[in-house]
Amino acid sequence: MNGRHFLASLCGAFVVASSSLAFGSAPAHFGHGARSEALSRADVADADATSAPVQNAALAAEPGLRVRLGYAYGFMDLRIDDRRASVADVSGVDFAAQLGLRLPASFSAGFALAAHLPDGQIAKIGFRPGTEPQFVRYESVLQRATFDLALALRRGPFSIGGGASFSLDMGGAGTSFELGQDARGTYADAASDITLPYRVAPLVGLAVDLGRASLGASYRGALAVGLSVESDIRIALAENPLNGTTHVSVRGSSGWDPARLSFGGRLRVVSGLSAYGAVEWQGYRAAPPPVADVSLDVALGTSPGRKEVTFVLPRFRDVLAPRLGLEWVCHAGKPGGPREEGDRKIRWAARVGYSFLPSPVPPQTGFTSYADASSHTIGAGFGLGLGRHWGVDLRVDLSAQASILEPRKEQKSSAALPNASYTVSGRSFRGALSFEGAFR
Amino acid sequence: MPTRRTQRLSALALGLAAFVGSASARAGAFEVQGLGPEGVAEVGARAARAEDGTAAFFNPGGLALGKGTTLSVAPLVSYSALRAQGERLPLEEPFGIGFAASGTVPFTGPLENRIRVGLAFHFMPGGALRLLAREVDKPFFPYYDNRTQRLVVLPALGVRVTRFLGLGIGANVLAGVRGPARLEDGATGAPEPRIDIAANTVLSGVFGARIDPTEHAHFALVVRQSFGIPLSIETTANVGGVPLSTGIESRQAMFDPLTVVIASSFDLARTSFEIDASYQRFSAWEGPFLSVRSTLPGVNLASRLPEKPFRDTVSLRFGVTRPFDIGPRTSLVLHAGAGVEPSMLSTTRQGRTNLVDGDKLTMGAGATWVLKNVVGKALRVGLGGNAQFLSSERQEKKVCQAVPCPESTVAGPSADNPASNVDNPGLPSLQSSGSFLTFALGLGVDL
Repeated sequence: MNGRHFLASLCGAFVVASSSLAFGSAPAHFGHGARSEALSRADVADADATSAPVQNAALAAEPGLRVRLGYAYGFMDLRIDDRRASVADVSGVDFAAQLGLRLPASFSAGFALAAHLPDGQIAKIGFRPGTEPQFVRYESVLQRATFDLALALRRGPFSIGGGASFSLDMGGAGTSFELGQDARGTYADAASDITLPYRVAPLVGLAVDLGRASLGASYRGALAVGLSVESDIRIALAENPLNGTTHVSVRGSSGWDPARLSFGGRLRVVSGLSAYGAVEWQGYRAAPPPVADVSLDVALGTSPGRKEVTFVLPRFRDVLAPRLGLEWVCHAGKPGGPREEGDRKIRWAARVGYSFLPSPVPPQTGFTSYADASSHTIGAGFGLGLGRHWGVDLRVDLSAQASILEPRKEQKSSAALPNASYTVSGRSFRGALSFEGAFR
Repeated sequence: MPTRRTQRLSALALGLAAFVGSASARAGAFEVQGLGPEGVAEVGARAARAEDGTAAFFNPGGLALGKGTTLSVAPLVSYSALRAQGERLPLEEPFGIGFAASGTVPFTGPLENRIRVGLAFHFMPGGALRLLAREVDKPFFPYYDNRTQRLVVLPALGVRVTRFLGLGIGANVLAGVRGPARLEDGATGAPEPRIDIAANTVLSGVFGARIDPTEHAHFALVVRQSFGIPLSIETTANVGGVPLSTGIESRQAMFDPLTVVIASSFDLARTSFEIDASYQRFSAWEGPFLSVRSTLPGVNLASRLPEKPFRDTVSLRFGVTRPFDIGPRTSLVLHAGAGVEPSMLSTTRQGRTNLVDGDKLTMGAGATWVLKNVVGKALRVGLGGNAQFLSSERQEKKVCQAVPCPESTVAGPSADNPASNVDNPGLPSLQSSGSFLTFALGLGVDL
């Protein structure tokens, strides 16, 4: 087996991966902004305007200009056979901006963007051997920058919105290596042609605000980082038995984020107390294998025993995730609500939320050893409106989330299969802090 | 004197700007092709006058002294008539769409009309990036190669300190890549990849100051930090008990040099003149090639790349504008510019590599039709173009006659007779010349 060719091809893949910029899923998993996180993303019908690109694009039409900056840190303690798995903590900065304008005929229109930038990196491309136990929903997919845009139009109680979530594939003509020698000795050269074409997933939202109650629906398309790289290697060394050429192809999808369809409602139960509910469909059935396929075309003095590695579709299941939330605001109004010039009264809000996310991963019976389990998430938080200062309504929100994975045991039919028996469990804790300024 | 609250809010605003800057942002196309029809026509001599969204690139300090809200979109196309060894070298991504926006943050009180934000954006229809690493012996122009093939998002924030002083900061952010990868024999019996690559944030700043001692005189200082994408990938494998390792590295892919611009502008009657002097520190660039290392028992292979093939340059650019009223609400603004810039290549004789460049003379012209109070305060339609002419250059190659061969020579495959069968495309001499044309069409509105 000529490992050097394989390594060279991997280098080609990594050069491609290295230029990658992926957008996806930490906000869709935890929420974008401390208020949404405290409500466990049950705010589909009445999200903050700055959260509209993530929660419901139709809510971006609120008149005014808002800018929100926040930070969140999630401690991940996920376990396989009661030993902590190598799942990195999830942390980063959230930024959002929204501009809404009043138009004639009682219309208003708005534009919003929401971005998430993980600490220290813009993207992470991770592929593990397919037979190794791995938390496919908590690894690379949560370590990416995200960028969502939304446009919305509102008239009276009705709002409609659309937008896009952006990602980049990785491809191009590939990388060629030449390992050769001349009169000065050996040399190793490489040339690459790498492209990052755009990949866009649609966002669609609808909302109706009836005063005491509101309803909302939101759709987000599936997104992933597609990796496709070709490598050609030529070795021409004097008296080397491995001289020849090799073509290597590496293909895969890293950190797939499923399509999501959400329906939600808000009901003002009593003055100041609102209840939120949502149910979210997540289309995991279309998920590609989370491991890379490799194929070789070898013309060398030696040949590898296996020239192709391809894993079958993981056959994940679609799931429905219910979400519930409560928000209690002071009688003066919501922390982010309208104010008069010079109004510096403190406003407050307290929030709690709950969500249940069934596992899309079926029982593992073959070579693959994907690790996952259904999870319960509890959120809590509060918000403070700090008043209008220099024309800006200032607000701060804080939240905490705790998630528990239901213990799960995988038992394959044959003890000869890799990782024939293992258990999955875990928990995560997360805190978020957001500051928002609104110009009206 | 600012209160503590003022200071806190200013800090928050700066923090917001710093974050906005952390969106993916790059500046390469603006350096090579230009920005907007006015910038193209005036060959980039705009550091002392730009106050709209384009100031995010030209001078964030000028952004601070602007007014109102501006939006503009400007498709741009370039044509390369550059030639090396008699062959035309086309620009790989010649078409892009520029976008610029600026606005004043609507604070009241002590911050009123003091904080402005701007954005300059370059969009490639085909994708966000195309990274080309050329074969080591291929003739090409590193000044143009790869530098236009990137999405550019350059946000900036300007602070009007006094009526005549504006300071600004922009951000140039991308991702570098580091990480290990291994090839292992998996449970299936086949080699399975284990990849753990992180695209880490790389940040460089754009800093600008503008001083207006009078209404008709402007001075500017702009510093753009150098920028390059680091790639460093180490792979290891154990195949049949044989340990193997290979690494690829490029510390400064898609390089933009440290640039310092000193500019001044003054008005004579209705005509504005500007002169910009730019220092570009190309000597810090290690080169456009990928470095490869491969190690296995008995054989170590490594790239042989030239050291410091570039030198610093100082360029001069001149720009002039003159408006003509052609109706009660209509005016035509004419733009023209010229610039000179020496070659970035050092005088060291090259060995296997065949990098080419030349002294550059750039001339541009354009016009902007301004229609007031039709859409917003003013609607602007502009057209600009420039042509960059490169001097004809000839670099002699030297063939190695006997081992050990110096790095400045080319050699054939045989150590016994290194002068035989030399197939370097730069032989017997490396010749280059040509021109580079850019045209931009712009539509803008002042709100």
